[in-house]
Amino acid sequence: MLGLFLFCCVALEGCAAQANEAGPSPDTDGGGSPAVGQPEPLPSVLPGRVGTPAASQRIRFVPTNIVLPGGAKAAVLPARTANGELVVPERVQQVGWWDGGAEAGDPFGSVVIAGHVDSAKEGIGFFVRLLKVKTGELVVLNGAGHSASYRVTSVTSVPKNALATESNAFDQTGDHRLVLITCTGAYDRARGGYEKNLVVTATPLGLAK
Amino acid sequence: MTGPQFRRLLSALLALGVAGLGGLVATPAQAVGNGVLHVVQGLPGRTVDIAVDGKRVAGGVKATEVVGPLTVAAGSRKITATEGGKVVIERQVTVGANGNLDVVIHRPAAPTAAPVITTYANKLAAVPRDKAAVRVAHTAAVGPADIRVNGKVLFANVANGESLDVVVPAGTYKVDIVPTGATTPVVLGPMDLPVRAGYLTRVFAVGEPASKTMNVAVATLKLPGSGSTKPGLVNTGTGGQAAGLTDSGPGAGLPLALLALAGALALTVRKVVRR
Repeated sequence: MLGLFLFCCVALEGCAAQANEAGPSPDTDGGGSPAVGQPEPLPSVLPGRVGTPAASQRIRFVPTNIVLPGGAKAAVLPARTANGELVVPERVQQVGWWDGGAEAGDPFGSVVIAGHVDSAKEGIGFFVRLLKVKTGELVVLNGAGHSASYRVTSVTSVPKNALATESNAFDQTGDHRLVLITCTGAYDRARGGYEKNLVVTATPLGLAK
Repeated sequence: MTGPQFRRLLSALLALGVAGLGGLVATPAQAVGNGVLHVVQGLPGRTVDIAVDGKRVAGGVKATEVVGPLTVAAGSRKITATEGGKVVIERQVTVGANGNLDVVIHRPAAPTAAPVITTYANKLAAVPRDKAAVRVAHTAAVGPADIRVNGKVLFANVANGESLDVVVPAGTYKVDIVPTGATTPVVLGPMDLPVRAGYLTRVFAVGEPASKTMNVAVATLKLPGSGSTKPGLVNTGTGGQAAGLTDSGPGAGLPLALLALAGALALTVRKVVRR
């Protein structure tokens, strides 16, 4: 009889709340001050419940692939800031995800992806396509078996030396968004290359999947 | 800040204090095969003594206090909460080697049911230096709830025993809990929840609304830092080939497409040549 009781407890422990709600049991006095005064410790100790993530748990991931409007894809590699400058992949057909920013699927902050419009060594880069992106178009990020879609809400250009100070491209406290950055404007090698950054901002279409 | 809010904040701070003390009590052994426990007292109105494998680790533990970190051998450990020498609840929990586990003594969803113990494994994954990891766990005697952050439902339909993890910018958030799909009655809060950069903040909702014993237990764990600082400059053009494509006058689309194609071709050719 005791064996049966223990078996029942073990079997029901996985859903202890429901088991306890089912009605009076030796653990419950039904009066709101439960389980005080068990005469003896249980001969064998029941396992505790294991907490589980709720179904609404957000998915977040580091993007490893980007799909631009029109379907062109590129690999996304992590990019660090060194000496104040974001170091994007040297290969112009790859782009870089700033590792201090948001991941895809986060509730707050910019996911920042920057890439070459061109380079002296490899010519035209993957992000040359940003020059033609229009508001309303879709950008998809993929990574770790997940994906997140974004709709372009603005395409602007800012002087390169004002990107960090006068745009909110790197802001991590605002609503979640995707910020794609490349270079644009007049090119003058003597004056540090392009005069401006092109900033494409996109807002999430639902949660990451 | 109203009286109850202040008291909640105070008890949260007290809980942190107890966590600090627990660190002194814990065995400092860090050999392979050990794990760390934090025992969360989630039974408002009760004061309990906590034992691990029959050995008392803390006495007179009040609701929302957190005992730990306690270093224990990995494997099955017996957690016992007693009140006045009588067992309130006793359960086995499984501690992984190098694992970090929150052991929460709390009430199930039904207000009259006996206490339960639920464990939550702490993932100590790195976060960028200005961000905070937060876990909110539903361990209160109330049905499924929505947890609103700054007025927005950030955690939807969380049932007793469930939890949600999120990474957010460090700061202070206004948090309240309402029944799933509703805006009233507010079960808990609104309360100010400060979350610290570089830490995992665990928030356990405990208590029961009808008896006005809803409260939170809060504890933090330091996380490794990741990510680099905000860039001051993004220099992504060193060739100049794309210059002149930006004034998208008539016909500008054609050269752009051609150039993109040329770029792809150049790469293909390079690959072929390398072979």
